[in-house]
Amino acid sequence: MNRLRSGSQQGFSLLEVIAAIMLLAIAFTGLMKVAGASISLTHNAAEHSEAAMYARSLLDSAFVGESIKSGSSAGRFNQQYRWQLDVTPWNQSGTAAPDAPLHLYQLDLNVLWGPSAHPRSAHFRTLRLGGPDGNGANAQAAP
Amino acid sequence: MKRAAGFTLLEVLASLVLLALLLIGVYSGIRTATHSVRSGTVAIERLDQIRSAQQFLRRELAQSMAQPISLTEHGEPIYFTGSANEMRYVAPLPGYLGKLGQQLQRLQLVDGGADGMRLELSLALLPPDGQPPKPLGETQVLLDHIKNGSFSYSGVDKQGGAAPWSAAWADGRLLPQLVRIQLQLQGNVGWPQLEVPLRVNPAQAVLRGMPVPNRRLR
Repeated sequence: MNRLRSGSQQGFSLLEVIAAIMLLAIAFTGLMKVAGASISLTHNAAEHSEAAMYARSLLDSAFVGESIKSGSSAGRFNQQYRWQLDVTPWNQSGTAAPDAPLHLYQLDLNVLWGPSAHPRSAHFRTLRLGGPDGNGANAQAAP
Repeated sequence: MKRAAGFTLLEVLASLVLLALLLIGVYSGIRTATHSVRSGTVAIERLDQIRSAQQFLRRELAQSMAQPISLTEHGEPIYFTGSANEMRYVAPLPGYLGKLGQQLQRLQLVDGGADGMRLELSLALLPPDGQPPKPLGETQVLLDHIKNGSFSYSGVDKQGGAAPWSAAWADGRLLPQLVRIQLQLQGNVGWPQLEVPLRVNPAQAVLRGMPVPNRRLR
């Protein structure tokens, strides 16, 4: 009886307590990491949707009131976001006849942000109808 | 009788201190987490507001139609009026709201006092018999907490020359080709500059001598 009680009264050693606290700390750190990751994912999503809004405005208003011509251009929306626009004739279904009144152009827009070494980017593409040498005929196509 | 061996005071104190430190760590961690979740929710809500305002404005402005709002003194119809903080145009509302047909929409930047400026939209019905527009419902706030902002317009003038970006649309007999809304918001969520092309262009129809579908005005 006496021996049994002295066995049950033994308690934890310091080492065991420290190990338990360490375990708790590690588990809690993991939890905090998950919370932090979700915050940064939110941030990432917010940046993407802001980039999408910028891109929508640019693609909507590109070549309105002026003739469309192929080539590439670049610029900045603000301090954070920059863009790069490539216009190429679209001939996925074979080349159009040179005397066709309307030609399709493909607009490729890249929106970049973040550090210039490893920028984050979002890519947008749309088609636009325009004259062969850009005589002002201009219409919207499905984005 | 053998005395049961308990903890000494020192041991109890040490364990309490350890536990307290642990609890402080856990508590501050949880508080940081709730705080960041709350600020993240606020940022997401704000972004949603901005996006829905942009979507609505884009759709309405792009669908704006050549419907006379009023007449000039020479009896020519005015389709669009625009200044740096107000514009008026006619557009149909989306189907689930647009049971009453085309409406005169007035978009305004107004000063709301301590909360900054507000972007407000008011609607008015255009009666088919040419009477003055009847206000419909209350003014809707599209976005608030705006530091400052302005509208600008560009397009083609009556002679077919390009009208560069300016803060006011001079010739209401024509629709501008592009409308730009620039806002600076309070807080750290930005307003991506909104540029909307207006699809209908009475300028070209008039220039080519085609009749513009016209509503009879009294």
